[in-house]
Amino acid sequence: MDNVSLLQGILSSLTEVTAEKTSQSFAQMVVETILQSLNRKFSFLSTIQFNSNHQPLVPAEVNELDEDGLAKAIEAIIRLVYMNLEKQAGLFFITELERHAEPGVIPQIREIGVDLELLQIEHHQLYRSKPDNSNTESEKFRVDQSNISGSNQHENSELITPSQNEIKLLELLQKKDVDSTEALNSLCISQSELDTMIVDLLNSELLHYVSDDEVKLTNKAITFLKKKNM
Amino acid sequence: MKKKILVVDDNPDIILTIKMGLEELSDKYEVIGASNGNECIEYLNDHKTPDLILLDIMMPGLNGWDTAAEIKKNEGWKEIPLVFLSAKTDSFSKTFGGIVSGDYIAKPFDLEELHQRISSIVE
Repeated sequence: MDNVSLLQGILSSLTEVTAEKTSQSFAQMVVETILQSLNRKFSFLSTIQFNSNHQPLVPAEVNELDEDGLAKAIEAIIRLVYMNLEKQAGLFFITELERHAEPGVIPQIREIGVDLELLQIEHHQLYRSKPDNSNTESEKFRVDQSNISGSNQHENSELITPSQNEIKLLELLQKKDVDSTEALNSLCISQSELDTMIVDLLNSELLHYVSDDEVKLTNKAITFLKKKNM
Repeated sequence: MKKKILVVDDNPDIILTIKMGLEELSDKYEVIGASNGNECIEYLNDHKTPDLILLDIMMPGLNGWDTAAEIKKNEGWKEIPLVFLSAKTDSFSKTFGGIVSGDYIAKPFDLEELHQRISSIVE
């Protein structure tokens, strides 16, 4: 995938994620505002136009950029939105970007040096230190039972090594809908330990966000638990 | 001269509450109402630009997002400060709204807080 396809892929994904929450024309405005705010540092961003369907158009000269410069610009674009999103919405944002991106875009931006995991850790630390993060009532962890019964086997499930407490959390989530207070009491852990576990499980793709305050088991997690109990 | 605040909301009670509240808290404001995005655009076409627009998001017809996009792409209107005023309080809406307009107030709001936010923008 060349630079143009890669940048166009990530901007299209960002536009679609934004449009889902706002509207097509407002999404274009959000992305244009982000590009304008970064074009002093990355001048090539000022060459990006939008077509009448609100889709970004990246000019061919972007292919002349080195990978490192492109990676820094893409990371800055993602960071600008990500760091403004509160708590779990931030993690959900990465999931949404991945869901909307054309196949190959996310693996390739990782390959050229965009560190999404580092962004997630930075975001987690940022919101962990905020006082309103202690409001456990706002965090609900629910499992969609219908998804469990219709799950597919995941080929990489044998490579996963969650901790004992993480396994207990997964088993708890598999049994019933729980909120964070119930999870804390059942596992006898602190809020920060629970937060860390959630991030680890998200990074291991054992949990995923289904909204900005709800997580559920992935098929990979369901397969893992099935194999563990065999 | 009074600062002109355009409130765009499909709920007339909200417009009335803001009008009575702000005009009672200070004689510096004149509050005008529009019941949806189309009315807002009509008002902007026909009148002198207001000093601030309070914009609801969920409205029939032209919603708040599309109204904001219309305003921001117009050379004559793009500098008007916009504040989203909405019950839609998810983090995505706040963040995306904030990137373009810079401000977002969640309903239900406290009139005194609304007054402070408005005065910090227009005065």
